[in-house]
Amino acid sequence: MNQVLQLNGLEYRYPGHQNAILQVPVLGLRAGERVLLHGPSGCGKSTLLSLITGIRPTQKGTIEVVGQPFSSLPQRRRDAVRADHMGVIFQAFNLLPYLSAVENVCLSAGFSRRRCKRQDAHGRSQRTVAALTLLDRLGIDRHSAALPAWQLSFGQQQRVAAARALFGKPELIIADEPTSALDDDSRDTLLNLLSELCEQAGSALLMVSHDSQVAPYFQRSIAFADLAGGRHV
Amino acid sequence: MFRVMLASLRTRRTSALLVVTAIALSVLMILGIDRVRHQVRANFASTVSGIDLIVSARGGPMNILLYSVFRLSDPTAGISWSSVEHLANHPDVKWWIPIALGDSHRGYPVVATNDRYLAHFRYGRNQPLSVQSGAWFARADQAVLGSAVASRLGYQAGDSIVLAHGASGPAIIEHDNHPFTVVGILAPTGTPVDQSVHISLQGMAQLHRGGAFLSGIPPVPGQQANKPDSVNAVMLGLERRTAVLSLQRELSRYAGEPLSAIIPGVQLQRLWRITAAGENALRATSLAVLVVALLVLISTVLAALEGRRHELAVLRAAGAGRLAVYGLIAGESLCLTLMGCALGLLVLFVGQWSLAAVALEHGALQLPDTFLAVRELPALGSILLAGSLVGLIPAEKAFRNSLADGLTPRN
Repeated sequence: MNQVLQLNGLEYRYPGHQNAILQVPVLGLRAGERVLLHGPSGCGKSTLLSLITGIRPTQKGTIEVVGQPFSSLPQRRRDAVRADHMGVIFQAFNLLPYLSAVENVCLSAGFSRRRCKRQDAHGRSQRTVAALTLLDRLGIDRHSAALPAWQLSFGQQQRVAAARALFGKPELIIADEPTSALDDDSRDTLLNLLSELCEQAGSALLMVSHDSQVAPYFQRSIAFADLAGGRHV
Repeated sequence: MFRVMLASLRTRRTSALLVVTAIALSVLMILGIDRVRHQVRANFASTVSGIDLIVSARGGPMNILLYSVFRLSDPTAGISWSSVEHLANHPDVKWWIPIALGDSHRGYPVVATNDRYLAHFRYGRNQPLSVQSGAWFARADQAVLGSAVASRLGYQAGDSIVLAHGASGPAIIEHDNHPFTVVGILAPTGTPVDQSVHISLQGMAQLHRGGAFLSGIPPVPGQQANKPDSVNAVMLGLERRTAVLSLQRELSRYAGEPLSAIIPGVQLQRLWRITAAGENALRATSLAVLVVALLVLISTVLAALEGRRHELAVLRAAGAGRLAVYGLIAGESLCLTLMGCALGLLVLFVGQWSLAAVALEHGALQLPDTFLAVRELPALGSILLAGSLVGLIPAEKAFRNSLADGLTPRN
């Protein structure tokens, strides 16, 4: 089970539309591999991520996640697989503003027993300790971790989001333009930490961005337009 | 998830508070109406609890019940004292209370009776009347006041009062040549006794110079002054309750004069059947208020969903499935309904606690002192169920939103 993510013959079109807005003949991520998908906005990146995370059902083609036939599972099972094996980082609005940073990190644990186990965090207090440790490694001190999320700076919020995605060492981290609203320094900080922690956790990272400057943090960088050609394995 | 729900709800506390208030109001109405209804029935039943039969001149049974016990109607013509003596000597009769009505004092009915009233009248769970201050009347010019009469008119033992002819309305003839002295005040009972002025039959006979005025006939000169010649009704307690029906039949065939004997409990049941239509209308109104409150609940939760797209996207991305989304949204409705019920109950409890004294004094209505009665549980359970069921509508909407939005909602 070397492949964490495997897409084959994926096509997506909006209801009533003739042309597919998304065509991915083949795309695969190996365990621990970091891949950047870059392309202009509006090219179907968001749709692709909705399919990969299983929130939208697949119309045509197959998606396998950690060897499971993800795209043919029912919605409920796809939700469970996402909870167990994926961490997601958004461009913005990553956190529930009324919860503290550490409670936001613990959200992942609330939906997946597997991830609690992998983080060695069984009870409630152990989860909090694990979340605090993770936040600390991402540069969020204990004081900030206890603050309501809306009081954190945007850069801090993105790092909290990264901590939540990494909690429980999921096999796959999906990041949707996580750095596009950050200044260069914050961007570099986040990507450095994210790469490092993904490596330690053994998580593969699939990041979508319109900014090809971040390519050095990744082992592979694919232009979105090239996906349709199927030249990527 | 529960903590997330509460924390999220706290950020929308203003609209949540309004919804809770709407639900609380409907709970207040539904339970309040039910409690008043229940309490009125209990009070009426309590008033007649000890009486097996009420005997009066022939007339409508409902009218007899309403005027003799509740003083809510005009008395029928009197029955002669010889008939009263016939009843008093009947072997089935354990005790008897004669009452003569027709006078009033500042709107409060005057009940002319004798010592048997104090001795035998029972209310509630077989409770006897008790004199709170002073004593029961011993002479023809003495009066004993019900507690509400005394407290609202500010009378004390020793005060002098003048009675008016006529049971209600403006006093046309005042018996001001026959003032009465207040000698005693009864303890509160939560029955019409509290609203009555009690005098002796002799007192009333003297007022009307022989009591003939009672039956509308002008006084006949030369009649014995101290002996009442008629009363309006006689309340009976029987040796054996099983004799009620046979005595009732027997009295309806009484040869001396046409009599009616009514069983107060049976008449009360008939009364409640009559008032049921009005009660149902009230109940329908309170149900409509509940429906409105639930609609407010749905629309508030639905309206909030638009602003919660990111919140739900975060939860969905973290692994929340349909069940978790349903739990969050429908749970919120349930939680709001629960708080509404609790608030409604609390307001009701505080209300009946603070109004208890006033209601007893002014309306002779004993308010309940319960926080929650077992018989109310089905109603509350239905409200909670309805609250969580209507929560399913926004819950499904929220889940569909998240599917339509995909991973990231557009701003």
